[in-house]
Amino acid sequence: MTMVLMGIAIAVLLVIRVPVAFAILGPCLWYMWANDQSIGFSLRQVTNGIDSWPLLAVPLFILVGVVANRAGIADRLFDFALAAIGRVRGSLGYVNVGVSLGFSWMSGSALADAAGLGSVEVPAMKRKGYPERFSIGITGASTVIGPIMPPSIPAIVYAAVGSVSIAALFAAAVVPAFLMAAALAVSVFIWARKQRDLERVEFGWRQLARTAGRATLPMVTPVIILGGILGGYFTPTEAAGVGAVYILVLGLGYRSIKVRDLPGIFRDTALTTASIMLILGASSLLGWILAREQVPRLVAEQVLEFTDSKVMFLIMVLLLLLLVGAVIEPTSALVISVPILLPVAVQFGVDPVHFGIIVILNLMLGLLTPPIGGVLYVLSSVTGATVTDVFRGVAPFLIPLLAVLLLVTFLPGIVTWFPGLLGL
Amino acid sequence: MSEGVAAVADKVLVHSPPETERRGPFGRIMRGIEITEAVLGSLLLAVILVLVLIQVVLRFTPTAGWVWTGELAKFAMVWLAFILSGYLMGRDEHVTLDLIDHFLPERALRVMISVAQVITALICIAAFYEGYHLVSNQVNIRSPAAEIPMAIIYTVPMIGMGLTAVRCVVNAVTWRKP
Repeated sequence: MTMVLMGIAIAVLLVIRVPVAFAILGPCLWYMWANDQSIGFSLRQVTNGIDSWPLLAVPLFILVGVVANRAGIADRLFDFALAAIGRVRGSLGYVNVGVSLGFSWMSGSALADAAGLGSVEVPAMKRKGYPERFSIGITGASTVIGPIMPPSIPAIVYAAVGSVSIAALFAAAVVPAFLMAAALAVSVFIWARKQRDLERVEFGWRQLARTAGRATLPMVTPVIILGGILGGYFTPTEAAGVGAVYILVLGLGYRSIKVRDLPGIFRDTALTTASIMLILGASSLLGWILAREQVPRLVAEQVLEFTDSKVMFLIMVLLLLLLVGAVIEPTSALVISVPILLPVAVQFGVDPVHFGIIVILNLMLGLLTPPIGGVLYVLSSVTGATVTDVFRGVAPFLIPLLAVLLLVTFLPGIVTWFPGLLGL
Repeated sequence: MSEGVAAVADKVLVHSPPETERRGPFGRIMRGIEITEAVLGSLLLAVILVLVLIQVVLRFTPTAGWVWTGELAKFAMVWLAFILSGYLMGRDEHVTLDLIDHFLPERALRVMISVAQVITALICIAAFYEGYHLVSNQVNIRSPAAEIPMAIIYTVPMIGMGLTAVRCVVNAVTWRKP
């Protein structure tokens, strides 16, 4: 009963616009005091939730993404992709997906990608005669590759909340991220077949070589980050640090970032980090309370009474998370749902890494759906289109992304194959 | 084109809305606190980056590790989060769900925001009280590697919660529809 009241209290506070971190913290403090826990223990639990070596990767990967966005890396990838496949019909659609894929190796945030890539790709597509709705739609849909492909901020958060290996999650996300890109490319192909008068770009080896040269050094970033982690040279946190320095040096070398920009870059990264960390700290206290009250066990019993089928359980999780993802921002949704759902999933025999990819992919789709889809609002702000128009553009691409979600959910081999190959 | 990207990123993402005009002695104090928080938060991020890099260098050198670097980096992140909590609250940049904002008339929205800010202030005061107890009880305990008194470590969260509570009260009184 206490837990039900706590759940209601958190929900009410969230709805009346209490910030997520405090909406979780308030009822938790009330519980702790009502249950005679020593005063001071709660705040210590909150700080312990932040005081974590793996979580140090979060600010450093955010830094990589902020710098990559400001350093004009997207422009370089865009020019290269266009030079490579500009002749193909609907090429800018594929270029859009390709740039998101390339950029996703450096950035773990869909919102940052939507702002950075949206301002480059949508105007470029419109100039070449692509309909605005299609241009915005494919740009928005392809940005959700960013938080799936490593380095992924949601993956680090999931790993911290669920005590799962970050390296294994990173490796597990690679194939699903490529699948998302492939599914979106197929959508572009289907759309482009009927578009006979789209402008194309002439192919030239010289142009290809020149743009490839400009894109080479930025594409070393994922080699350092992922190669470092999966090759066992660095921990994810160390790889994030080295990656951040590399991309900073690159930005300064390209003169797209100046030394006087650094304080702003550091401030913005620190602010984003703080807002995530406070939620994680509060959720750590919530996780402690849920474990103390044995909520995951009780939930598992309830679910098992309803069904003992793994497939049914996964269908229920998919529907629940699609609903949760539509109304709650992904990090908050992760920290609230994972402590309850992950132990139940394990009881049903679902691999925690596989479950992590299901949860992250599922919640990321919420970024593309009203009422709080963050990507819709960012793209609306960047392009000047209304949020409704942005959603109309994005909506057709939800179908291929949902198809990938179903594949990833019910064919676990897609997720577990690559980490298994690496022995993670 | 890259300048365009930077400008848009600035506008949309990077938490740098136009500075709010703050007049009078109280306004100047609040502005001073805000600047201090932003500077300290940025410096702590730089400290985290440097300490993590030291850790990387140490991993590839045969010298005995400086175990305190990792510990200090973690504390820096705790401090960063709590120091910037007030800044985020003052600018309404904490992660918040705007579920019913669009459906409410301005007056009802104003009442709801004020109630939410008062509740948040109470939560922060409770957390401040927790922090006060923690600081008082941990005077003689030091961190394992860097041997920093834990009372110092917990002072920052305590102050951070206090400053966040102040921001909530200011917001409750001065909130206007953006």
